[in-house]
Amino acid sequence: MSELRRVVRWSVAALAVVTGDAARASDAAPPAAARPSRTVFGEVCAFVPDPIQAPASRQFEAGMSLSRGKGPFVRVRAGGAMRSLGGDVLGLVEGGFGSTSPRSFVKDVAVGIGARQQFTAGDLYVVQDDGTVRRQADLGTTLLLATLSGGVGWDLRVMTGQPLHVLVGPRVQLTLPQRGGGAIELGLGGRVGWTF
Amino acid sequence: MLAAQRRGRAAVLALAGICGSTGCRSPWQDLFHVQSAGARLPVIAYGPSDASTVVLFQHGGPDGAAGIDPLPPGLANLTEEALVVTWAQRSTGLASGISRTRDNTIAQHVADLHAVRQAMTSRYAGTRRLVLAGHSWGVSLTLAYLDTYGEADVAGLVLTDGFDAFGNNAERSFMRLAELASERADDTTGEDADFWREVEDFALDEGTSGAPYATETIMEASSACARIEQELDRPEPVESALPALGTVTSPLVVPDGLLVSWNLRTMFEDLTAFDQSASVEDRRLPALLVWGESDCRVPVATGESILARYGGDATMVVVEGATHFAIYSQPRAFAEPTLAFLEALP
Repeated sequence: MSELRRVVRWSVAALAVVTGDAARASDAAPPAAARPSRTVFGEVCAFVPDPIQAPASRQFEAGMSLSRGKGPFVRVRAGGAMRSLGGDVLGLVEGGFGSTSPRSFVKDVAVGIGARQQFTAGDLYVVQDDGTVRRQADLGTTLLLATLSGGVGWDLRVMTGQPLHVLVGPRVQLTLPQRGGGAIELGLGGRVGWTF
Repeated sequence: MLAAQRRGRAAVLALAGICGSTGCRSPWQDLFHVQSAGARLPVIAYGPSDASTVVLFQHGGPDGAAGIDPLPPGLANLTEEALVVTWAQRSTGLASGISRTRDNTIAQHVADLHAVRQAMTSRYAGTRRLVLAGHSWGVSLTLAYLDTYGEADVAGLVLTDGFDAFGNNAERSFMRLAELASERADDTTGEDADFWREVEDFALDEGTSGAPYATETIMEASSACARIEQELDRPEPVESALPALGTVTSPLVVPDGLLVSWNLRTMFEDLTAFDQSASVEDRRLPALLVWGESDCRVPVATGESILARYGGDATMVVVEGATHFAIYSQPRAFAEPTLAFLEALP
């Protein structure tokens, strides 16, 4: 019977870690990750190729987030995207909600809005008012960017004492206007951050 | 200089992790963009830059095409002899910039093609033979272009599986679908046979009704044609050394479809009223028509109708066993007559 109780106790503990809700399953002190913190991070997001919207692209970003370790946070990102037919410079402000369990499991979800300056590869020929075509410098096209992203990972402060965290998660990104409508991209991002 | 540009572009692609199946080699020879009415249209040229013949290709659609190889394999087989220039139309995923939905019209596509031609002429200076080629909707675009800008400085036309008038083609399309469905019903049993009998009845009803065609009806016929294409289109290995971007599937199919429908609503209205049947008689350029025998979207009968009314010298090649996508699925059968046609041009 005691064996059964031990199995149940360990199962509940394991489940609590996975759901990031271990605090309720133990009397542990508030984790280090729950303190107010600032984090700088770098992220790479790979977007899947799409037969209608766009070929594959990669997005590289760096940013900073302000949080209380648990609950709401604000994040700013700046970076660039590389597409097969051009590249972008982009900036985003995100707001979201996250949590860190005493066992170091981190999860967050965020919505963001920003802008991207889209450049095209190769020379650019522009149709003039008189109908002729002339080669011009590419100053880019300014577009609106909206994102919905999530992430799960680990805060290494709890496990190793290092002020690092790593997360992976999906991202849906909408660029407006594109081709008279919008372009939706679906990607997977990986983030490494340093908390101070 | 061109080699250095290619190496630089390949390095950028490698950094971005965008590499084809053959490695991180840049898949094109030359790339530039044309900005027309807000849209930025990529133009990609393949083949020897000093070739005496330039083939300017209008792809089908008018949607999607980002995942379709911008260089159809049938054209890839021409790149030893000719400079093949392809471009992505404003409503495709390869185009960028800010274009308005109301600019998605046939007239604007014609203006875009003219802008691409002007930029191409400026970039590749020198006297060359320009051949305009089109697939499916690209044929309609090419004919509309010639009607607007004339035939000056164009040496010939290569038209494959496209129509000159929507109304005439729709009826022929339903009748060809009925024939193909009937053949399949005879060759199959059980649920498959029932399915093809239903398709046959539906196609015969629509083909003979004389009523205007609803979008849902066209989509249903398109779906049945797609099933035939899945059966028949078995791509040959592409002989070209140029790697393809490849066709991909995406989990975004549903939102994509909604966005495309919204984006192209003006275009579909334009296409339904599209009729260049009279101007075909005014065409004087040498023309080659290449058609898939089992094409039920734009059947051989439409090609034969264009051939019969065409004002200049024209010949037609029917590719056996091919569907609407002969230029993709049977590149050799497409390229052989096309190369012969290009060589015979004055």
